[in-house]
Amino acid sequence: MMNNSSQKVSEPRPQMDLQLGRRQMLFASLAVPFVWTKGVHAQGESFSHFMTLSNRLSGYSDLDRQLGLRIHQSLSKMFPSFESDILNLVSANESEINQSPMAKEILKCWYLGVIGSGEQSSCIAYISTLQVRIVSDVLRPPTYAYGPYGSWSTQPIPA
Amino acid sequence: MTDKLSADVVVVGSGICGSLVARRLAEAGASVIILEAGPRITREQITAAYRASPFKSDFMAPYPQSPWAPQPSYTPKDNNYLIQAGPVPYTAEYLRVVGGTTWHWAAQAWRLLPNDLRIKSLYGVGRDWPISYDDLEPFYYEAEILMGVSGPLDNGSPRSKPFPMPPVTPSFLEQRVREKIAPKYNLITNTTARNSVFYDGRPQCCGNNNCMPICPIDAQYTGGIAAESAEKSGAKIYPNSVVYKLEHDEKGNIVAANYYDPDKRSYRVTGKIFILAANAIEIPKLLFLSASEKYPNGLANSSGALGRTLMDHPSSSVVFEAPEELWAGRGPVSPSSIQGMRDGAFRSEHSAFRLDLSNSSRVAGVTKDLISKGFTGQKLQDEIRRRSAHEISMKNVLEQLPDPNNRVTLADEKDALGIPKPKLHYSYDDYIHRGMDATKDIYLDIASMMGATKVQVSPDRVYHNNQHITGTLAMGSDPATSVTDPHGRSYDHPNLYFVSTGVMPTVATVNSTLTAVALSLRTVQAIRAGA
Repeated sequence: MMNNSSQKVSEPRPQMDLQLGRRQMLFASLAVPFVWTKGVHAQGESFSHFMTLSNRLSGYSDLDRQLGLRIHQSLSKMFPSFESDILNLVSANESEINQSPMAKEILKCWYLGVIGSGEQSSCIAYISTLQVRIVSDVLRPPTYAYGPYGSWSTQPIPA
Repeated sequence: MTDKLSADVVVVGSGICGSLVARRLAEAGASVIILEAGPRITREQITAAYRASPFKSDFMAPYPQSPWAPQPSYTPKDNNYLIQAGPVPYTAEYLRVVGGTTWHWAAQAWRLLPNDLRIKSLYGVGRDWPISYDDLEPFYYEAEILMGVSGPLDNGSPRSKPFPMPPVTPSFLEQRVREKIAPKYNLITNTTARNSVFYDGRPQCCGNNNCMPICPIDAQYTGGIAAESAEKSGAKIYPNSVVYKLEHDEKGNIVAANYYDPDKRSYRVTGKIFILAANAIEIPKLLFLSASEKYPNGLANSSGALGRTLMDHPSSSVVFEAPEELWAGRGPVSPSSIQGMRDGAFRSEHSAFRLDLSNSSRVAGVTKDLISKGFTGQKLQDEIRRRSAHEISMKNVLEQLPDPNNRVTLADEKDALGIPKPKLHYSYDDYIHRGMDATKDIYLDIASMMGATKVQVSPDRVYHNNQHITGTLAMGSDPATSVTDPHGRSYDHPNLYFVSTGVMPTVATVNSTLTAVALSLRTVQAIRAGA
């Protein structure tokens, strides 16, 4: 049985199970473990732009660099226009950003841990996503214990 | 395979009904074989698959698809296992794995109301059951003990003995809604197979808020637990064994079940008693597939009722924002409901229904919505928190009357093993539409009492089903209009029984699992009495 007290949670490895299609497995396999490669060094400038843009889009200035590397690498492979989209968005105004499909794609990765859509969808993160972080003073991500039996009966006190 | 493929009792399907029947018969000394089309799965496997799934709002997504035992799937696209004949699609979901579909349920374990079994006599609609609530009551209790059920006493269903455990502690959200809408509406804690105490070797709920698609700690009862208990009692489960044809002798007795393994090698299992324990779609499919010269319209179908009166609980829904922070997502996902519309003279005019309060976390859905609308930065953060704290969702669980035109037949299309797929004919009548209209009035009333804003009712005449696949094997006292007798035995085949939601003549306003299990345990008694 799972410990029902406060748990230290760790990012699950995406499963290579039957329910994952071939393309989903491809992208899931990019997710973990991350290996620093020469290719990433070469993309250093692009990654820097990507993180600057991600800070602005997400509203967080201390984003998880490891997750950022995974998202950057995955989006680069999925979208041929990724590099130019990033460059354009870095200097875009708020209205342009709000209407940008790539901005939404990047936010989906950070907040929901999902890259792509439809049959191209892949899970890239779960508990390290920003949807978990932003309510972590009040809620636990589904599948993780809220606390001892009945602890949900008291009034939630946001931090 | 070197085992002798023969047993006193052959059960087709290892879901909660089949497994508990197998357990009871094995405990009574019978040799029991359970043939299950799908594979074995584990709680840990499904929990991990959920966390790694890009489709977390789809309860089917974490469960493995088996090419030899396909199950309906609609995300990211329809896998076309169920062929829709219309006029409206019936997008049923169910699992073909050891343990069956109660791997993903909210553990709602309701009894019917006594009047639910007499709606034809009382209200002139639907059909009466051939048995009474009192006939079922002892078996409801037996099911509640097996499954570990708790609930409040004022849920409308009389009981002879107390629940085996106290009701699950309500969340803050549930308490506040209850206060706001009382006394006009009585929001009660749901009757569920969820542990409020340590029970039967399983822990108390600790609020993982993921009852569907998987409870990660087995605090709620599932068919997987039932299957495990059947095996401990001596029943033998054969997973990945897709039964495709039953054989009968000249007198109509069933003599064998034939099944394919994943490589389409065929096996034959003989037995004295055969029990079909799949769901209300897969059982009629198998009986139609087993048509013979003597039974050209399928087995167990002399009445012509096989596959007909397919039912579910259509639902509408409402979302609104409460003025205070209530934070759905703390505790079980479906904790409480309003009962007042489950019975009354109005049932002659429109569907009865229950209203369910959701406690599923709003965060993922809200975040997805806001991103799609172009929210970014601090505005995105603020709005995720605000909506997740204030949003409340409710839905109805509404009675659909038995309509012979809503039915399961065989499609021309075939699955990977060459077995015809199920074809579904489905529609909603005005009785349902009027019930939905009555629900809408109550949604708006409750929203008003809550002081709510941004009230969004689901579109008129567009309903979701609840995967409570019912009917198609309806029991009755008249062989001319019923598939099974009042004990779940086929009128046409003396040694063929059905334990399934399929035998329910009407669907009432509550989730069908506990009633199906109670009926199944009653069938066990009949089998043992006849043995």
